[in-house]
Amino acid sequence: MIPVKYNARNLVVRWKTTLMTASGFTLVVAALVVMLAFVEGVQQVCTTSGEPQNVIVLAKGNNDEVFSQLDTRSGREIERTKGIARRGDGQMLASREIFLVMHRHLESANVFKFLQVRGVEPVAFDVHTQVKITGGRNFRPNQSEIIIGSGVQREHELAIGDSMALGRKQWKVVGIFTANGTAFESEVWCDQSELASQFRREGVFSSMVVRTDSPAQAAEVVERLKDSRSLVCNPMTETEYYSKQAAQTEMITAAAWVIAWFMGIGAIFGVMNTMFAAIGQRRKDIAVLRILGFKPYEILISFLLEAILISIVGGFLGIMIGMVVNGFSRSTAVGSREVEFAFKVTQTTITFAAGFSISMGILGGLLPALSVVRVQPLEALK
Amino acid sequence: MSDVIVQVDEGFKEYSRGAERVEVLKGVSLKIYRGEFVALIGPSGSGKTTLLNLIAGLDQPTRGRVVINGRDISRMSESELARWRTTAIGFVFQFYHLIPVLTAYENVELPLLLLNMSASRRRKQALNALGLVGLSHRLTHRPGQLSGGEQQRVGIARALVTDPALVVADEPTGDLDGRKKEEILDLLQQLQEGLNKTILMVTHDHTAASRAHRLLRISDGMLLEEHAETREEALALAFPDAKLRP
Repeated sequence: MIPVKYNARNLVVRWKTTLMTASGFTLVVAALVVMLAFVEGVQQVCTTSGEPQNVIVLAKGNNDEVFSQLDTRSGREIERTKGIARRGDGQMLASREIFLVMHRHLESANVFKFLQVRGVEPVAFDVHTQVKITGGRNFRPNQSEIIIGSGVQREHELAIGDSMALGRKQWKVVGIFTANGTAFESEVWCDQSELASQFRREGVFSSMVVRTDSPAQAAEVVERLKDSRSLVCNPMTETEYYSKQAAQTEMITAAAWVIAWFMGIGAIFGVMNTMFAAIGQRRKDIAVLRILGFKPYEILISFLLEAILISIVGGFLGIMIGMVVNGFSRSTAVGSREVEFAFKVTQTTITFAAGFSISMGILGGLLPALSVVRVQPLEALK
Repeated sequence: MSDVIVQVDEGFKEYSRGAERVEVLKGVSLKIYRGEFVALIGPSGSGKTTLLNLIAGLDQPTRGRVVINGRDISRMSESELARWRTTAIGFVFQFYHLIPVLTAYENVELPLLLLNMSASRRRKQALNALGLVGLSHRLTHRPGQLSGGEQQRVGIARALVTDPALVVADEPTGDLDGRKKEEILDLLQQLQEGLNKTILMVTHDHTAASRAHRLLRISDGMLLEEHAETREEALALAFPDAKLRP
């Protein structure tokens, strides 16, 4: 085989061309990494939000809490289902929740932002075990008090002691909570009955979340609820519910790849042009290698490798640039809600981006490399 | 110097130039013996380089037979010829044709990469070849950092490194001035004498031709060797204006 240093040194000798060609790959790969990091971040928030032993029950025909409405009779029927866990004091771990999405005007940026509000009963904290109050205290019922997730705190620039309008009333922020980076951190929690009276939801609620002792039991509860003759509802494990929310990011993933490929075509033409020029300039090298005994396919591989080296250099820089966003927090709309997420550059993303870059290098380098076979050594040396 | 290393029997070579057929070699037959230093001379367009290319396995005759070291290469495939050339033929070019990004050592080592050889043996052989041409002190220099004479020495080392029986040189001194030319010719002569290499050299140059044991004169695609009685007569015929070496 022709030593790789032959290709590497040629790239170094014409380093300006190499860098300019590689920069095409850098841009594409950086864009791809950022887009995939966005998708990965949103997906992670969604998929970790659900607890596997929790079952969420929505009204029949609804897949989102925002549109679901259950009445108290349904609530009682759900609570009668076998398999729901109980707290030490005998309290059934079934949480009736009202979930509302509203707009809030953020004065500092003069923009409207989504705000998710969840009205809960005290048992909700035993059902959603990820939720932990990290600052201040819990809200008291009927005192117009709220606690806010850490994401809301950042996005809406709120702090303990601040007030905000929900409906016709002003509510006071009394606590901050975290929830292991899940979608709950993008929510405001308050007393369920107080929220219901404020928004005329007395006697109805959006969803009921029940906790079981294990994921297997959660699946059994789902089956029982589906088979129930006295109840018409849409039960699913909480994990499944949030996975369905995350499924909306599949469109974004597809769009990311389509954009990457379109941009990639530019990079492919770039490397193709560079390699055709390189081969044109090195026809004598090719002739000498052929005369010395190297076979055409060995020289073809060598030039293909050179194109791949360019793609590796460009791809590496692209990944480095893309990784800058890793951990960077933003909020985005997922379905009818806005969630706070952190860009996440995973090992898989890096592998995909590197593979994509190398694929572009191969596609761009193949045609010029094939032209090596057509070089006639005796003609080239004249 | 008795065994035949190069034998061409009725070698013809035709090329197409549009609809026209051009006959470059017209039934050339020759023999070169092991250890000979032969110069192939003749006017431009006489077929010297074409004949050299047939002997070196870079081209195939249209008709006839080329046997090198007992092996008929005229029917070999391109792939077979490629590997055969690596070990059977050493090439020295007029313009050296070294790989510019590789060092002198790496250029010499290049043909050895095609052989199933350990790295240490490769190194030993490449260093030995560079030592033979007096360039042991220039191993890490790239062609651009070497003089023309030194580059040609590297070219000669590359030609010798696989220990081929036959070295073909196409105008090896064509790009060099007087003193450098003499040095390269001295070197080729020493290698031929010291290593018993067979050297076939195409040249236009009287000084270079005069170093050869035997001259093969070619004109219009045919060998004229038989018309000359002695080497001196052949030289005088080929270079009527040149002063013979003492």
